Amino acid sequence: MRNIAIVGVGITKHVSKRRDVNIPEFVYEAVKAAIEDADIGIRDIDALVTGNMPGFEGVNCPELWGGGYWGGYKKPMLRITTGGSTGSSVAQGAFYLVASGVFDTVLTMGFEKQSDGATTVGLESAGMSDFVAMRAYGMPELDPAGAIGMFVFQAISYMARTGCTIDYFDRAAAMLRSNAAKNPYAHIQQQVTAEDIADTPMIAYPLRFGHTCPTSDGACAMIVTTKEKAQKMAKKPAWVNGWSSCAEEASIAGLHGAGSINIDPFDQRGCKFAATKAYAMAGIKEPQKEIHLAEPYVPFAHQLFLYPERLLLFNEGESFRQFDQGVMHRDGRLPICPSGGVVSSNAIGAAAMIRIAECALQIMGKAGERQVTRDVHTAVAHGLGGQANFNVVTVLGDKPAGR
Amino acid sequence: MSSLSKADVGEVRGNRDAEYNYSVGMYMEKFFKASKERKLLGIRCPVCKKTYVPPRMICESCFAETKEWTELQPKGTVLTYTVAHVNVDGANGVLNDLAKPEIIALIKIAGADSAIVHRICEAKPDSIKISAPVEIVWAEETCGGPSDIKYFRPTK
Amino acid sequence: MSRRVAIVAYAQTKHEPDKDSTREFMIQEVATGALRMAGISKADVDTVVNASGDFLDGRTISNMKTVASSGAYLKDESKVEMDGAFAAFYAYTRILTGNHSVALVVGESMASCYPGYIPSILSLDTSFDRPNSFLHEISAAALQATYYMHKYGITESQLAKVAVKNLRNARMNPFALRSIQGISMSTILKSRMLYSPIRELCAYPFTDGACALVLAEESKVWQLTDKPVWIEGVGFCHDSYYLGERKLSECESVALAAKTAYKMAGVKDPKRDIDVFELHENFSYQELMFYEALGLCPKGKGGETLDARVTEVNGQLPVNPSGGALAANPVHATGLIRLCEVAMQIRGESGKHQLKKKVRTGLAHGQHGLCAQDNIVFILRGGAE
Repeated sequence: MRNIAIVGVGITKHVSKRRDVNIPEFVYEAVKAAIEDADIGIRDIDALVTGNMPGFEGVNCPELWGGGYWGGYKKPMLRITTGGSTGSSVAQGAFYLVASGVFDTVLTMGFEKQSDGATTVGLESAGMSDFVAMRAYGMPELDPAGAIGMFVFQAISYMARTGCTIDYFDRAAAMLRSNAAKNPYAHIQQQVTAEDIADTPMIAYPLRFGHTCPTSDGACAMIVTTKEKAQKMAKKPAWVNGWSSCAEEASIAGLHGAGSINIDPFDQRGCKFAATKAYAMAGIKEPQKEIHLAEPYVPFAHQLFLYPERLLLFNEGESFRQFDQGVMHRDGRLPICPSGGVVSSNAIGAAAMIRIAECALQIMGKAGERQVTRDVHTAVAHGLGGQANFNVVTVLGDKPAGR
Repeated sequence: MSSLSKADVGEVRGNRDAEYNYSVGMYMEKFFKASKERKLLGIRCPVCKKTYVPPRMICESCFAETKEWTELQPKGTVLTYTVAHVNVDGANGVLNDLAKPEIIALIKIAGADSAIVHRICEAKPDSIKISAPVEIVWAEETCGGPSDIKYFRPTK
Repeated sequence: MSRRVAIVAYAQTKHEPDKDSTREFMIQEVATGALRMAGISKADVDTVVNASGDFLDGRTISNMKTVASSGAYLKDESKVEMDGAFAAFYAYTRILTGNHSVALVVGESMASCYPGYIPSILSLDTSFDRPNSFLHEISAAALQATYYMHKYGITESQLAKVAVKNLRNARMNPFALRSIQGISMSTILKSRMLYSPIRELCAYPFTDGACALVLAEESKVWQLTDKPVWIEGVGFCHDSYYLGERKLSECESVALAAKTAYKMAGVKDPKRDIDVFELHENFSYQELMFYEALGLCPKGKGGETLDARVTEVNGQLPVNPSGGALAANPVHATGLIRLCEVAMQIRGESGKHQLKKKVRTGLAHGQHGLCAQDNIVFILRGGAE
């Protein structure tokens, strides 16, 4: 297996509606930015890997229409889709294509133009496939209120099992939104306090409006390449040293029985398994000590505490206890989501890739105003998808793993 | 393997509205503003000089941003065609027989390097030939959308 | 690349117009079938790659509900939302890195549960082609077929002859959906004209079906089979969405995909070096164009090649002894079935449709998008080591 690195990143400014571009033109903006960032030409790209959640735009395999806009004309192109984790699964496809030796330089992009579509339809068709699960979460057939049902269970479970209280979620959201205020690409950029968050209406206890992600039009593109080429394309490449994913079962109905997701979405064993494998691949033995920055997939504020634990960065039930000491803040020992996270920008197909891209930017020292105070030599990015049953973990570093 | 027959399975039917709202982007917006005025616009790639219609932001083969707008004559030639004896039912995707066959064609627009897929009317299906000259028939009432081009017909 | 990857086991369903089954059952059937053939359990599988489509399965993130049935529970799983042969490619790269030794690739769809040609219409550009609704799989194919026929003098009879060949071959294939007794030119030419020149029997049938492959890396292969089918070459390519800008009389993306695959596999002359071809021909005219794109004959001579009986099962270059996509086309599984069928021929396990000649090298092809827009070509080799 070859060493691989990210040498270019492009992210669009996330907004509610980009009415001035269609889907291919929109993703082109991210592609153009990534290619310029790596200072290469389209001829240097050997293959493309792309993905999004087609239910949200109602366009089937949009890369068939848009591939040529993204430099894919007469090139090998692959489409990967896994729900919310799509962006990270797509990136993982690029990692495999380069690390395996089949291609040297791969352009990868994840995106969602949610304003073109009906978000509830995209979500419903996830729920509609499993009435029993929908009922379990209290989603009515005619107006499923989105993914929030399951995450409400997850948040309540976290509180019950760890003793965490809702005010922590308010403070978490305030930190994340304020981080986003320094991120030129984020959707919601607000310098807010925990009181501002606590003032927002409750959607379903304990999740408030202020704890919840927006729906965004957003796109992200990255250039992944070999060690030899990386050293020419970037002053300080971000080395992708470890990656893994783990699938749990989401279905209740049918002959396969209940999966852990529907018994207790707090469990997220898949995240622990994927993290363990990714750290091993990267040669990280003690993540609590060796990881300097994390970008977990946090569309709801309580997950700022849950996922870092599942990523083995804190002992179970301990992460929120360290929050008030500032550990997770941008100037802390282990900054988490200095980008503002998914709770500040959520274009589904892009969100999980942006977690990787943001880690890369921090390692490369190119995160601008949101660059964290401490030196970042290692980082972990996480993507969550499906019915919270797909977990994808990527470990990056400022040096290639010794391969 | 299943002990249920189709008769055992209950069915609840209903309709769910799925409102999609596609942004056409600035290039197609300009195209439709022109089609409202019964004008056909194309755009040129600065590298290979090809003219595209309907216009688009990127020339795929050059991976270059297109620049020069140009007004095209509302006519072209038949690049290829097919006679449709069925059409696709929009509700369930099955094929319905057409009462009268229709002609669908790929029409190379005069002065451009790309082709539009559209239908040819005012013509007998067995009279259509490749390279036949055709012209646009605009809608009686244009609105700034794809329906502004009502159909193509053979040039007399 | 130092690591080698082989297909060690396979399974496919009996393809039907309306299976008394569910997607999950079909997936489980082929997943367990392939694992059983390899003599392993799901515990021995390191990674699973799915091929399925959200719009065909009628649900967002179609694979999130098929984790258990595909044996992917608590495994490193992903999904390629393209024809299954592309998923096989992705699984192949996963093994090449050394992260995984054994991969399971599963593809499926149930046409009885999705609205026919609508999913392909939903892939069109949203501002012009889609609201106009003239363009979809069949009309696009018909436009290309007319152009190809006009340029090279290909006849309607030749298009029908492809269908006769493939559907006759399908009579010997117990998995095929279409099994029409006494199929003849007249049967084809009497079938309903859809969009000229494409008749119903010259177009693929809507199919419920699934297919699975087990891939393994070299050091594991011999524990799992004594007849490995090695992946020697693979290439894939995306062509323009805009039909007016494609070279309509050729399948350039097939040619480019084949060029990469041939180079990797050391194939200098496909006519001499390849024993069997399983091509994903959604429409019969495409098979003739594929002959040309693959270098089996000069440009424009696809019809003559067919007339000379070169591509029949007893011919020098047998194409689609399984019946191809015209016999069964479970979208997302079809390319996997082509890989499966080539593997079967190489291993001598094709039963009644086994070629009489010795088969050591085979070509499997998959397509994705309108008018074979994206194509993938595999070169597989097995036999005496």
